[in-house]
Amino acid sequence: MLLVITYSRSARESLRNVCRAHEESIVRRFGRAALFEATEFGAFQALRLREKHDDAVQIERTRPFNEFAAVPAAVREAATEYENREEPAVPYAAFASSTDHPSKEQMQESALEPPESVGGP
Amino acid sequence: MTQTEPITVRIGEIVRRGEVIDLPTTVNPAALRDAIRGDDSDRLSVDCERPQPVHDHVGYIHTGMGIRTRTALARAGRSRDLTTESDEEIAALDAEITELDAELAAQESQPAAEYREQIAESSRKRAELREAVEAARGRLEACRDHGIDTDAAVEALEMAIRELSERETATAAATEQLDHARERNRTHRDLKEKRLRLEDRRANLEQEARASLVDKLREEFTAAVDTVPGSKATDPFDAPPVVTALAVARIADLDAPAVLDCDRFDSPAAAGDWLGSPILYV
Repeated sequence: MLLVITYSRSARESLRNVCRAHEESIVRRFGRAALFEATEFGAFQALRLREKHDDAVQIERTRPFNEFAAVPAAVREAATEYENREEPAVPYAAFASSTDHPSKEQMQESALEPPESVGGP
Repeated sequence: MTQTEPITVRIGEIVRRGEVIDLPTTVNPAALRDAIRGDDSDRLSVDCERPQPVHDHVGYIHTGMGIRTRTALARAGRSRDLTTESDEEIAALDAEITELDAELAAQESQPAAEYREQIAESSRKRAELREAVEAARGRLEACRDHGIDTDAAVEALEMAIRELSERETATAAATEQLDHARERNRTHRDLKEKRLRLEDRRANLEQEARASLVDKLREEFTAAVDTVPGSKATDPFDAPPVVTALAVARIADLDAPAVLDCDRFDSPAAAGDWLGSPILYV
């Protein structure tokens, strides 16, 4: 999908108008951002907005997130177990230190698998 | 009325001076209003104080006009130097926004589109070159299989590989530049986002200020609407636009004259007296 984010009042207003006029191409609306359908028409609307408001409009392409393809099991397990921890006050660093869970630093330094390699573009 | 210097209107050869100026009906009132706002023409000029924001609403009062009552009334209040609790914060926000604008102007946003285009073009070519390498490799193997001289095929393969590698280097460079551009644009957008938040906050305060000014002037406005010549008893916030505009002009402290093109008054002088403002009467 296309994530369209606006950075000025006029761009936000235009986005609102596009969303109102083309509801069928809008997957979801947030305050000053929206997800457009990944169709040529969605791209057409997004590009129109950027043409009009230049860098007050940011367009990014999003992809479905498959944690089983993109994220190592250790990270998934760490998330599950940390959220189900006995002691709510324990910070992650302390929680992870006595276990095999990856450290915050390790995770920060490891980029996810690029989406192309986990289910196509 | 803060006006001290009389107003001067020049229409061709005709020159009129005063606080209340009666003009022939042949004069185009909209052109007069424009001249008051500084849009003089060779034939028509008005020499007067600079109009305040309220002039946008009541600078040309005529049948068929429209008016945003609350905004006009709030600006009338501003023309009298009325203040609100929000003013200080609005001024502070204005200063912050000006500062941000300077920061934004100092750091140009990056032309990332150029890099995106290069990368897209590059990956298309790269795919072609990869195929060319495979084809050259195939031809070389065929030569070997058939015991044909391989020199030309080897050379062709080497050239294809070289081209592919050059292309890959170029793509990598463009990708890196795009990454840098994205990084810098992120800072730029952080500032823009901040500016947007300040603007939103400012708009809210502006609305509060307007409401408070309208509140302060509500009674005075109601009374003014009631005394507009020929006005019928009505909700003052739902009166005909001419009535509203006249009442707002009466409440305002106009520096620049309002152009009056309505038949509510017996004479220009009567209109000037009632409004307490400089006027051009058509």
